[in-house]
Amino acid sequence: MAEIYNGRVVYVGGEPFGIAKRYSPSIGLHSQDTGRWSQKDPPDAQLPSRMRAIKGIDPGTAQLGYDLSNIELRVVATLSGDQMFLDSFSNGWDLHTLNCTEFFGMDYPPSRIKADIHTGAVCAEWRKQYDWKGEEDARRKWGKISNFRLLYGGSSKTMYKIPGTAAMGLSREAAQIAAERWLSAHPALNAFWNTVGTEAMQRYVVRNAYGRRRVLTSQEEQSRFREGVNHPIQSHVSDLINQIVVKTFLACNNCLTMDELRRLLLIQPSAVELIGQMHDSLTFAFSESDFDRLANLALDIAEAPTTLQGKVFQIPVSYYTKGYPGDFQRVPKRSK
Amino acid sequence: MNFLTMTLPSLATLSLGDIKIAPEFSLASKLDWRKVPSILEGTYPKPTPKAYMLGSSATEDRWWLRNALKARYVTFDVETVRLDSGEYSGEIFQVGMYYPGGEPAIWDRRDYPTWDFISYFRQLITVVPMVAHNASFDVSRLENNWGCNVWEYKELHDTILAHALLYSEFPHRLEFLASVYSELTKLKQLGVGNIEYLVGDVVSTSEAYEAMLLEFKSDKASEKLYHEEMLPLLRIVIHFMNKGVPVNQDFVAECLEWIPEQLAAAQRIADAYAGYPVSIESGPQMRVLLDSIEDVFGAAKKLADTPVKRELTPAGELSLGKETVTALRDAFLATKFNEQITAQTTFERIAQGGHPLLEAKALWQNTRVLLSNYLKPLLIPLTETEDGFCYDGKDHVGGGSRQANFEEAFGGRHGRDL
Repeated sequence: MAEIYNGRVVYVGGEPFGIAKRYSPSIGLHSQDTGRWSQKDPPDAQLPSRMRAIKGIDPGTAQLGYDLSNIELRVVATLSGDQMFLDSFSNGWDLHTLNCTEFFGMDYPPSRIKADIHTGAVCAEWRKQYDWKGEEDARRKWGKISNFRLLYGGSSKTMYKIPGTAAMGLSREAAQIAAERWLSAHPALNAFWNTVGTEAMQRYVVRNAYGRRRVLTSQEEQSRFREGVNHPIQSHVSDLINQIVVKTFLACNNCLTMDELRRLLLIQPSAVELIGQMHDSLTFAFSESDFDRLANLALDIAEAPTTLQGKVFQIPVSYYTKGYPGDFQRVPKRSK
Repeated sequence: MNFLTMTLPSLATLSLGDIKIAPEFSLASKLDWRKVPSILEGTYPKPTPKAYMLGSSATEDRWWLRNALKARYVTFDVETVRLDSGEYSGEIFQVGMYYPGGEPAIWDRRDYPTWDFISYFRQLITVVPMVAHNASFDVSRLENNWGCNVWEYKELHDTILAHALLYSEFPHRLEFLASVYSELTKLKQLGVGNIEYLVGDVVSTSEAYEAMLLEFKSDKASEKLYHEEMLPLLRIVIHFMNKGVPVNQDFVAECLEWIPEQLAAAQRIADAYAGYPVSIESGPQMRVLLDSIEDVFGAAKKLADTPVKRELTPAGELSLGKETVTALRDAFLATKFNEQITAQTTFERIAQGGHPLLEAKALWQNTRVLLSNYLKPLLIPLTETEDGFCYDGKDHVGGGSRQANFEEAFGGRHGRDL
């Protein structure tokens, strides 16, 4: 207690506290089996939406945040070759609604495009038939959650545990039947799970497409199966995000190698700063004066095609800017 | 008993009995038990090498420091004053170093001039690959204390990252790595002095590093990820952690107005329902109220088609964690997907048939998480003096460095049983 505090003072329970100007979450790159980052003080990865404004903006900078759209489902689609998933992504269909129709034994809507399904005239009859409440329809949300649970090796028998199941009037048995109906509509996914899961279960090891391995230690076959299915998806996302972060730092600082970057950052500040990583999203800060160029570069890196299972793998991103006074223009990259 | 633990070498990480309690240690323990023949032969464990204390002799100092500059790599470990020790918290007081083929050396600020060592250390990291276990901790402390920037390191390696790539499911503590890869006697349980422990760490780090380099040779994919993805990322993440994120102070101040109100609302609901003052954060009190008096599990069984499972805490007590509370609330009044729990939604749910005590508990739990996880780390404790408010001069917080202690400020009524 040596210095006079000149900042903002808040009282909590009658006690005075200052508010920090900056904070550094503690990040563990090693803590999670899937390779995902582990963050604490504060746990940025779980930052609730109502607390996101806790992050400020440094003067003279603006921020770009983006989300790798449906990345886990895209990885699953590519790895399994499930036609409905692949078609949904290539045609811009509303996968969650299509999944929902499969869970609840409904007909597919006449158009599979999101806007048409929820508000378009072409699907008006379909909406009426199923009393469809649009994008917020509880069945769609339930289907989305169930979809992820099943993708990560969850059992159809436990779908009733999803909060809100009872509110929908779904009994335990009905939830199980819905999950089984969806599973039977996706033989390619089942085949993928069986191949990868069984191999992991038997060999005690599984790798993702980047070669990241997971030695499975559980003595329970079911657990090895579940983690074996989980690893190629989750850890693929981890590696992809890690590599995007590295490439963004290199490219925005106009460096080709880490050694070049190292030498550069010894004599000048980085042109890009990481602001956060949360689930499948990243936030970077750039100087306002060069924001347009650097933000476009960062988005190009995020959307750059890679290969997965010998196929081109590309993830569109949804982005936002924060603190940028100008009108940010995304410049589409010209395809060669 | 103390005499015994201080003089006998510890041969196994855990006893066989403990494997049942800590199954993640079973591999380490099995490997330890496989060492029994060498123990009987007297070749295992090896004693911790003797450390050279920098400052003992000018000639020896020069010899050690010069050789380290030519080493293949140097392992290092930084010892700091405990983070909650007031004025000197986080200050570096010792650095352990070791290079293959050499003897470990210790810099201690009492024995060797700090500025001379900083100048040497900054030279060392620019010419020799440096290896640490959990490098982000050591490198951050070195930057905060001595200004050694993460980009100054010629090469920075981390055994924790290498191990996480090779065996993601195993523990990654150095203690575990040492039990698998090192032949040194285990020091953790021996109550040895800090110097010996530090020496054990830097030598074990080297042994683990060498062993994992060999494992990488037979697993090129992991080796590639280590060098091309994880090491570059490590520097960027350390850079990020040191730079930090700007705090929106206005928003934090706003939150500090409505969050205490929300906690107070939860408390008031609980008091009103119980009919006398209770502590909503007290596990024992809530167990009595919800389980013994209200029998919410029994009621939930009657109301829902699926009974809520009575989970137990590790201490064997009935768990009233978030998941259990959500399941119980769901039985009384169905919860919605991704619901946001606020004072207003709580009152609404109670009006619609939600159980008041469960709703109050959920409101408390959710609000408390916001407070503990997101606001508390951003608050700086102040002391009011005649000259104004005083603090320790640090307005960049994080990394578990220091947290305001305002349990009492938030008026918890913990500790009382009904």
